Amino acid sequence: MRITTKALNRSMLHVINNRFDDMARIQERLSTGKRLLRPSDHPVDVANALKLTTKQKELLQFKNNINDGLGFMAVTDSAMESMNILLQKSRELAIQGSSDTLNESERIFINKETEQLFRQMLSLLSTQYKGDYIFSGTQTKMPPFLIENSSADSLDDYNNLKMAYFNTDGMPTGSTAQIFNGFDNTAITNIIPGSFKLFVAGTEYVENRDYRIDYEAGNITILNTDLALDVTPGSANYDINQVQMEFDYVTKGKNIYGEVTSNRGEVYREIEFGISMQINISGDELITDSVSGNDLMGTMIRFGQNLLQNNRSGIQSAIEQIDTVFNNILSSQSKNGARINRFETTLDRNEGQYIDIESLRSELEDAEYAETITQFMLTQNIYTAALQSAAKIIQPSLVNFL
Amino acid sequence: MSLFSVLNTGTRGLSASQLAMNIVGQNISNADVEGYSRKRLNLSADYRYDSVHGQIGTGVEVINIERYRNEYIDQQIRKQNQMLGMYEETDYTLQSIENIFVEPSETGILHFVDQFFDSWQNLANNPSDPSARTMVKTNGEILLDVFHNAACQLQDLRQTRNDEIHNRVNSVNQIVKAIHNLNTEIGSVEISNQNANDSRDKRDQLLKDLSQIIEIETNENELGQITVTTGGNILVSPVNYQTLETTTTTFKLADDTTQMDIGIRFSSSKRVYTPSGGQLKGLLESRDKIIPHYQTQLDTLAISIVETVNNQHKDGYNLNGFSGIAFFDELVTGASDIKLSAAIRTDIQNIAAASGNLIHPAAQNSLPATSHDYGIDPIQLYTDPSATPLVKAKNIVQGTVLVSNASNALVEGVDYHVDYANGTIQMLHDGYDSEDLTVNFQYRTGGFAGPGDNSNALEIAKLRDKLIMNPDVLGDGSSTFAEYYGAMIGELGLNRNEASSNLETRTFLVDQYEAQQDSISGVSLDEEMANLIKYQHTYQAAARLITTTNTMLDVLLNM
Repeated sequence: MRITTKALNRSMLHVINNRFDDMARIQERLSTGKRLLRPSDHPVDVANALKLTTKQKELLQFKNNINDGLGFMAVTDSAMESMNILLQKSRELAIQGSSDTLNESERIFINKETEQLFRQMLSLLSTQYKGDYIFSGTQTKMPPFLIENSSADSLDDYNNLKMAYFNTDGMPTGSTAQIFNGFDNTAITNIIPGSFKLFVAGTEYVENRDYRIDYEAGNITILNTDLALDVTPGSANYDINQVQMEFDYVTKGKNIYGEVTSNRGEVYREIEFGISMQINISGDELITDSVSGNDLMGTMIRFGQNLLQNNRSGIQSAIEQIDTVFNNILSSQSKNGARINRFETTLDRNEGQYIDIESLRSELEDAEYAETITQFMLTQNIYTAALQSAAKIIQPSLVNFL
Repeated sequence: MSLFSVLNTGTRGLSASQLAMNIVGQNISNADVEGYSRKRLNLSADYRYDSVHGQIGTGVEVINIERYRNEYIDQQIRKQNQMLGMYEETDYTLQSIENIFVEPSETGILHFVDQFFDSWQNLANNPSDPSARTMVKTNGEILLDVFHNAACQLQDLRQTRNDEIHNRVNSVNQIVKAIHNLNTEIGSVEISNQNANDSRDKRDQLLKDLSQIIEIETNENELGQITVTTGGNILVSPVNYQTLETTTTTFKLADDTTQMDIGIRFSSSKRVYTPSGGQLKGLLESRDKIIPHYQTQLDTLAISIVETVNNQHKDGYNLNGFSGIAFFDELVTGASDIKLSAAIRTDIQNIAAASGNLIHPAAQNSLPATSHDYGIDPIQLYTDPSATPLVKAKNIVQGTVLVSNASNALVEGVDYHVDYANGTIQMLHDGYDSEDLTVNFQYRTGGFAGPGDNSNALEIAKLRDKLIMNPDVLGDGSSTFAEYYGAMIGELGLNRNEASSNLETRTFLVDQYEAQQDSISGVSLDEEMANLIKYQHTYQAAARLITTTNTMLDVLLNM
């Protein structure tokens, strides 16, 4: 074959360009550390790598979900733990209160302590995690239980009929009337023992002498005919300066429609592909023993009432009731603990899977340095050789020797 | 035989050497010119018949100047060039699409789809948290931007490819005109039995350029003029030429819609021209097949995400306890116009993370004749008309209401109107006043499960693992969003690989043929140098012949 200057030039340029192209490609891999930079680098591997990336991101999100759930359950656990401590203290007080040697005023003192324990328990039930009430089920913006006050401290409260009332108009002593909320005429229940005070025209009447209160049912029994009054809104006695009751009572929280709804809504976290686990314990579930029907609210209120009314046998039965409530919280705690375990083992597995997928992905996507560098060196050698030989070959022609 | 005739022989030798040197000079100076073929001087010995000595040489005779070129190789180059031109364009298009999708990377569409669904998981962790809600909204907006961007870039790419068609048609026309001119020139030279070497070189180069743009066939007549045809239509004839032009034509697309676009036709016959090779074919293929293919897939993905997320979102409840809110705007035609719904844009509280309602079928409600007369107040529907107390049916499920008389189903919006929220029905004309009607429907109960309920957010997050795309005949999907997108990217990679390996093969073939042509028509400097010396020497020798003859004549004249 006849070799001409032009053919030589062309083939030389071709070779040099090709090698340079190869070098650029390998250099790209070396500098990014990636084997796959565009779909055409290896279409099947790219499609697989995309799938793995998605899975990996999902795993990462599940990990976030698990950690968030663990945080939620840890807060739940510590709230329940504190409640148990408070219940134990209450139990000790019940044992102390059931002792023969105590007199009425000493029991009233014990109730002062019990009342504080009860209030603490209620505030524990309103524990929040990231601004959400954890014992309210899915109604996270309403506290499961809240303490409301009966009295009208201001004219505003009074005008809004916030004042509680009862009607014992003309009743003989010993008769009983329900205490109502003036705002919506609903019966008031679950009054906190020890918080009740009754004034008529500024004079305070004495509990257990002039009247008696059933704290759980919200009833007043009159022992003094002075109190045979009509205090319903509209009557002359419904006046901030006439008859006023001062007490705190426990109600359930209300949702955005102003309705009392169940706090048994279930809150889930998705922790694995297709697996969602409940993370919350509802307030009702926590405080009510489903077997005996004893609940924390009733138990503590009855306990306090028995202390106030100096009822030794009532105090004794409170010990037993506190035990059932205590056990119920313990069982919720162990349920929660089992969930924490489940989350933690899932977290371990999640991290393991993440690493597995990471290594699979890296195998697909990442450039193998040893191999790539060797390739680079090889291509570089060829390139240099091509350049050198080109420089040698192009220079001489017959012209140089004439 | 006289000494003067020897002088004459010498002179012819001198001028032949001079001409040869001239050609060597031409060859050397054009050594690197694209399309130049080396020229050679054909010489032969001149003689006359002498009665005494037989044939007697009278010096050298110039026959012609010839170019070295293999026409067959040129034809092969042209043939391969057509394919080369086509693959050049499709490869460029696919490469651009690869760059638009930027996969695999942290900036591709899939990354943002993942991020969008992750933000729903995150919302499920904090369903009433405004920052988690904002994150869902923002990631939704980013996702839309990414889709818009890709759709917009694909459209731009298609537009630039379209514009290229103009340019290429203009090039074709220029080349066709130039070939026509060279045809005329070659004809006038070669009619007198001379070789129009340089014109032919130029024409060959033009044909090579033309073959890269469109497919061509050539045919040469006895005067050296060629006829160029494309797809059976004459572009250049020995006497005339025809140009191409672009027009706006209406194309019918696969989905039966039409689109106005640039079409190509012959300027004199006005017949539509469809190239079957070359860059023009590659451009048309890119514009009409390759780019729309990816546009359609991107649109399908975007629309599916919008529809499935919307359906689930509408089942859920927002923070204020309302349901039936769309997350994305429901009027969507493709990836380029998806947007968030007005409700979500204005208030993040409208993101429906909660659910909790159940759908119940209602017992049949009967509306006896005259009880539903046109013009009276809306009629309340009940969950069970026979129960006491009656429970009003509220939150009726859209699309489940069926009102019928004894034989037919009535038409919603024409015959009656339903208030879905309040569960009432009202006739829109009096045509059915005297007929008994029955109403069947489904309704939701349970309502809003509270701000802490995350079940709808979880359902939406789970959509990314649902088999939604590529539905089979029953309408059940067979792949997830990510799988669908991954398959599209895989296909893109395969297509690009095919195009670029085709391009490589053709480039290699063209290179091979050109090298072959070079070895025939290329200028070798060594050769030319050798010729230079050769002709220098023949010139010197011829001159010496003349001086020697001169001396001989001197001797003769001084005798």
